[in-house]
Amino acid sequence: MFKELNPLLHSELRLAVVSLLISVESADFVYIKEQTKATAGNLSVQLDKLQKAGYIKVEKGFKGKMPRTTCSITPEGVSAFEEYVKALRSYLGDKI
Amino acid sequence: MEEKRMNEAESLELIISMINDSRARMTKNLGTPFLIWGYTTVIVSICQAVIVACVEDFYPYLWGWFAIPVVGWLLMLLFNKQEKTVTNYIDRCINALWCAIGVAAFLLPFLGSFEGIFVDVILLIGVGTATTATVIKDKVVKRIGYAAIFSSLLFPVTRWVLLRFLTFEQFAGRERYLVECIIFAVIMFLLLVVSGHILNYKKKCLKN
Repeated sequence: MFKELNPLLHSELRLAVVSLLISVESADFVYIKEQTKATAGNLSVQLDKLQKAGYIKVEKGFKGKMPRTTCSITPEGVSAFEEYVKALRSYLGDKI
Repeated sequence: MEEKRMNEAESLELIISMINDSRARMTKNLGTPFLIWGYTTVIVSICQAVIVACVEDFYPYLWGWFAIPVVGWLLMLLFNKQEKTVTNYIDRCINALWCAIGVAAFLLPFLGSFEGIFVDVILLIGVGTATTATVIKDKVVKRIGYAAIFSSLLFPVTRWVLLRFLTFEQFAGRERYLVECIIFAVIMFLLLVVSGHILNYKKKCLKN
């Protein structure tokens, strides 16, 4: 039986962001933008969606005089990611 | 990267590639601290060896060893400025490990005689290097770390050999100290400087 893939994670940029954050403690906006090669506007929108879902925590602060946005994954985000990978397994089976 | 729907295989590929990219970043910027501390230690050790060989009353110059933490930290502040765009668990573990090793190495001279200090420092730095290399999965640097730990055996062996050739006055005085300074400098060069260049070379390859 195939499990349903979480629609919030089943989008290229949001999945990239969550995959990136799963292996680090926190990452700032510039780093995520560089790694995902997304535009600032699009990335902001997707981060907002993930934050509203409770999957990531976004902290806004300053580094010197420059504004800095730092993102980290929440326990809910980790569970959602694990569920997503489990669901992927049910689709791909022995290919993983 | 746009908000497009992917098939399952593409999703998996994306997850693997993002996790691999962030893992690759973990080995970045590790070579520079190795080089800073390595060159500082080797240069100070060579200076100490020269002083011991040339100056009659070399004991006051033993304070010169404290140039290692002073110069090392200054160089770290100057050359190891890293843009902290991402923090991960491995970076935090490695930083905590080297902080503890640094404090222990700094306290060593205050804990007793200078007799076994070279061995103690080599063991500390060797353990730090081997552990760091294990965490970042660098087999060559890991072997260098373990080789350094075993190389500390050179000191008792050297003492045993020197006892056969030197008078007790020579053994208790400058000659043995001079030989141990040189052995220490060579081991530290192999342990920190060579490891630092290897890590930097790998970082360079990773960028290309």
